[in-house]
Amino acid sequence: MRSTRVAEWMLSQVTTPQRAEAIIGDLLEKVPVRGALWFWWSVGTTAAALVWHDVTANPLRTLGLGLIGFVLVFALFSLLVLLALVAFVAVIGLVDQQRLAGLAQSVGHGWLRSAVSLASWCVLAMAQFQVGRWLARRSPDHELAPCVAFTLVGLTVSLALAIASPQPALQAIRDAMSAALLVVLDLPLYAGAVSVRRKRLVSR
Amino acid sequence: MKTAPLLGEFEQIVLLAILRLDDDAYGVTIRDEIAARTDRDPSPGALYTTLDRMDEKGLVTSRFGQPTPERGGRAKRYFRVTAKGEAAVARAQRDYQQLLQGLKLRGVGHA
Repeated sequence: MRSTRVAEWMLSQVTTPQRAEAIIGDLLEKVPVRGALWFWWSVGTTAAALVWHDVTANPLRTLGLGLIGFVLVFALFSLLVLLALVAFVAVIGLVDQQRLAGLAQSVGHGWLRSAVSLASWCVLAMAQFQVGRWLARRSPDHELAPCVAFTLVGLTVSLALAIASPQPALQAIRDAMSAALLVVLDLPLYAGAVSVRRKRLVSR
Repeated sequence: MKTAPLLGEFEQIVLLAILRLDDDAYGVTIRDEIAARTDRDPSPGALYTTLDRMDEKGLVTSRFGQPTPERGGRAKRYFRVTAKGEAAVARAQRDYQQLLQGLKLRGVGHA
């Protein structure tokens, strides 16, 4: 079966490389009987079960780290946005106002808004990546566990905000569902944690 | 003598399967043994987390075998029940037997 290396890499993020190799070997033995779909389903559920085992092994510490991480991302993001605003104001001060207004008009406000959104997302991704590295360094051999706690904290806060906001129930449910999609936005955090784990494994 | 640790139901099943398999207890055979004897089909995730947890508690030990071609050159992780693990199973079974004494359960030949 092709691409088993990817499966092995996935599992080695949540357990030792030797154990990941043995688990993949076990699953491969059953592929002729159960099929490739079962193999990938098993890889996914096993990875989830192993990372959840790490989270629950020391729940208070892990949740605490997740909470600190959440606050750090928020603080770092705010700081970076503030720096960007200061830079923007400084540039406005230097550039001719009329030329700037003309530029905004020619580019279009929609494009400008998109550019600002993209820049904000990049800043958030940078902040998350750095915090992911910070969390992983504080959780040796269980690097992804505080990241999962971070995602849980983020989801809880988003869901609470969606439910508490004074709006019709249907809109609140829609907001709560879109909050679940925020998990995807946490990917840079996991990437940061994985980079620390990779370095740790290579140095052994 | 220290009291043997308490076990969950699935932990008991896994320990008993390892004991039955003796030197051939690794992920695939353990799952097959459980499926054959109990009609359960434990998910790989549940099995591997239970094995890791019991390894951490000192109820089982593990060693890696030689890589084999049918597994894409990957080694097997063999498990053995430690004396502490055996004591824990014995204690759990003793407790069950004591609770079952005098009870007549439907579907159980002798209780």
